[in-house]
Amino acid sequence: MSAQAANMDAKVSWNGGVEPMKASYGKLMMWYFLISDTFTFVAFLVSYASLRMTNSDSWPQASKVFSSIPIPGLDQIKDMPLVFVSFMTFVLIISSVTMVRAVQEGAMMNRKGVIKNLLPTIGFGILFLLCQYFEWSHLIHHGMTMNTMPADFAGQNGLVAYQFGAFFFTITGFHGMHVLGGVILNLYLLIRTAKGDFERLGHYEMVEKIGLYWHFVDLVWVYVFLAFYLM
Amino acid sequence: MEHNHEEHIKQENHLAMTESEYKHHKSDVWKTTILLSIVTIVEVLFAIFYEKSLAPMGWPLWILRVFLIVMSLVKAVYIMAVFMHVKHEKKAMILTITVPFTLLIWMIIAFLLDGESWNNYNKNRFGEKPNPSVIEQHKGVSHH
Repeated sequence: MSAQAANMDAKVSWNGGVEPMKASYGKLMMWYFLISDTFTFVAFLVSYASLRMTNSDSWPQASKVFSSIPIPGLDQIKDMPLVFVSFMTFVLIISSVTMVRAVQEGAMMNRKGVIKNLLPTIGFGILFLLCQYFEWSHLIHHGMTMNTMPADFAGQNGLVAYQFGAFFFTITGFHGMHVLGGVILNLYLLIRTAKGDFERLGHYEMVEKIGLYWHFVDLVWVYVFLAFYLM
Repeated sequence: MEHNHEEHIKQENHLAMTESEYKHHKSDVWKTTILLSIVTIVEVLFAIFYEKSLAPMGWPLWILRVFLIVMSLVKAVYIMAVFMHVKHEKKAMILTITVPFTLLIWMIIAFLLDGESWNNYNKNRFGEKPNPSVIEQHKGVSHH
């Protein structure tokens, strides 16, 4: 290749204005933030798993700890293992589906379609937070806090692993904060869409970026659900 | 938030797709939703079924754990590929996202092995755990 042609290529790429890998700056940066956040959550979950392994006899069985529906009125029904948290998983999955639909409607520049799909996403996000509130409040009333466990959550050797609460509340708390942040971002998105900002701008890429964040939140819940409730 | 100075100029819609692409992607999303729901239901049912029927029969715990981890990986791959649109991105970008995740594989293995090693340190040469002291028996128990 002649020096002149190489120079032309350099001018095109290195002088900026060209999107690498055909992805916009905002989308790439959101992805790389999500990767870093993944490392944070994996670190939390791995620390729980490895500490639990050091003395597996005193840790409780998940299906015993989470065996009732913590809503006042329904909590008299005993032995419904994992029903409530499975419901929470579905709530987040459905909110992810409506979020994808919002992104698709945005791609077709359909403002009303975007609003129609953002509303259930926000609604299900708030429902998830409400469920998490009931779950926490039920467990705290039962005696599980950051440094205590009730006696009936003892492990096989009769001891309680009082560290369980610290892990559970910290990790689900971090996740819940992420959900709350996502709900606020989606509300911001809804307002800007309703105002017509994205019609004027010519694209709904903001919906896609916040959509990526929302799916990340869903994925983290899949793994938190796995670590605490199924294992 | 993104408030670039070019907002008064209409920008290009990168996400634009044709009507048939739109229909096709919409049906992809519904198919993935059904797959995710089925996988979740199977996971929960298997976890309950294992505890109630298989564990008493002597099935080892690692079968349940491996099954659940594999199912969750399936969910993660589908959510990333379809919902997060990774399947349709440029190959180079897919690599910048997926390759760092492989670092996590060794991290997880290393820490789990660490935990198991500590478990061994807690046993004597006959494989017995120490008896908990009276103080330990009441430590951290909430009294209602």
